[in-house]
Amino acid sequence: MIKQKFLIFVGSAVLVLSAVMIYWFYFSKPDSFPADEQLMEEINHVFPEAAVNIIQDTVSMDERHVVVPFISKEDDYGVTYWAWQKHKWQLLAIDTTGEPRLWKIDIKDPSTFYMVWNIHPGDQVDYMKFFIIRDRGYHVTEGIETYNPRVQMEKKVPLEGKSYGVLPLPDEWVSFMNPFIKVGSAQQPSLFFNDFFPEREMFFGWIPYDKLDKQRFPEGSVNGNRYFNGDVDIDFISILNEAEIESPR
Amino acid sequence: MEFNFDFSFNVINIVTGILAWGIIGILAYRFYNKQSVKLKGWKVIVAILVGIFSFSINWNLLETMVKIPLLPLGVWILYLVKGRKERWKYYRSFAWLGFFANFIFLVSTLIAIPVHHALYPEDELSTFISNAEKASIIHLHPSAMDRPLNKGNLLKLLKTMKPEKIYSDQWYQEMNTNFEPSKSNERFPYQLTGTSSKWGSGLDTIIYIEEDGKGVLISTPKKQHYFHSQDSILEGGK
Repeated sequence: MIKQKFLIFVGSAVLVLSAVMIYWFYFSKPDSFPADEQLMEEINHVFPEAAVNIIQDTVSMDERHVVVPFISKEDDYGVTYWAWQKHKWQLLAIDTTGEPRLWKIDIKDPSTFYMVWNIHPGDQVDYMKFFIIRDRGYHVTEGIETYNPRVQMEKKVPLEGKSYGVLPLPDEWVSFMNPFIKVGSAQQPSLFFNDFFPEREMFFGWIPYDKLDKQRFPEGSVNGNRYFNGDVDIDFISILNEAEIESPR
Repeated sequence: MEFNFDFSFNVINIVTGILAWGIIGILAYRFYNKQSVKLKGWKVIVAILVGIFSFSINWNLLETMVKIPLLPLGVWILYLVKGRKERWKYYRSFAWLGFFANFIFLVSTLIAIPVHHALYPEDELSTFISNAEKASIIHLHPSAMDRPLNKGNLLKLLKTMKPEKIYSDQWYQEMNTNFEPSKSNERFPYQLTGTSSKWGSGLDTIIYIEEDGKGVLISTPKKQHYFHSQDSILEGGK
């Protein structure tokens, strides 16, 4: 009897302790974000190519996700991505140039998607247009007809003298994507390959413009190097031509 | 049996699923009472669950995947593990019950399909759009006009809109045969949001609205449905 009680006591103690540990490790409130010098040190340590010279800012998306734009010694404008994970501020990714990317914090929830950029001032970009596009299409399978309307929504973003920025997807985009993802996932026949990749049918794009409303090629913001650390979804946003954009007749 | 890991739930699948498992439970209980040597309860459950494992072929019946069991793999596995032992004869009936359960699931699916069609008819718009009180309109394409939703008309038309044929290639050609490809309208430039499909139907939908507001194109995981009427659900139409 005594032995049994002792075992129960030890068992519950272990259970409580591990619960506390798990909470501390995964769910506890984040520490304050590291100071600029520390950030610089860590970036340059894990990825010397970044050669950070100036930390421009720290931009929080929520209390656990932060973007840090920087300028390198070679005058490149880059972006680093940070998250509070496993009880530490983790450096998730580094882009040495700042063409726009889409950070999917929770890949299943488009309201946690952010467009992130740091455009080189030498590119003389005055504003950008972001697009979400799903191509028009149709197919007939065993007599069942399907028509997919073209989806093309646009968001104009002025730079206003600031090279960097972070923007959540507009509400209307999220309202389209949510049922789109649900219907797409329910289409998957198998139980084990249940991942639906909306990117196969839908994509994000952008067009940079100068002050005179002319499309520009952002020479200084592309062809950078990337550093990745672990499990993070940061997607490419492709540069579009105006010819790829539909306008009403 | 079909699992549905989705937010919207399918009441009929749930009910027939519970019924199927109930029948399996009753059969297992009867077998158990008949036997002179009592196995432990958890061993019975494991034997049934392993027995369910089978090689089956998928058959697409009315847009629903139906699984037809062929080879009792689970029974064979159990036989390999336990077959040489004296007690196999007590396991055997439960293992076969597991395999037989596949047919119970099959029958429950075959019952669920017509019931679903009867309760959630595909030729009625109200199957796909209910709770229209919070409905609103999104512009999916630049050719969308600034025409707000006429909620009164929408609620009225939910009962009267008629299903029509989808002319997918014709619609596509109409939009795309322009000489200047970047100058194009979209036939369905609006999306209706804030609605849900009929309670318990488990149907996920994307609802597109035609440019004149008189047609509704609904994408579901299985197929599309198109409804049309004489009146517009958008304000300010001709």
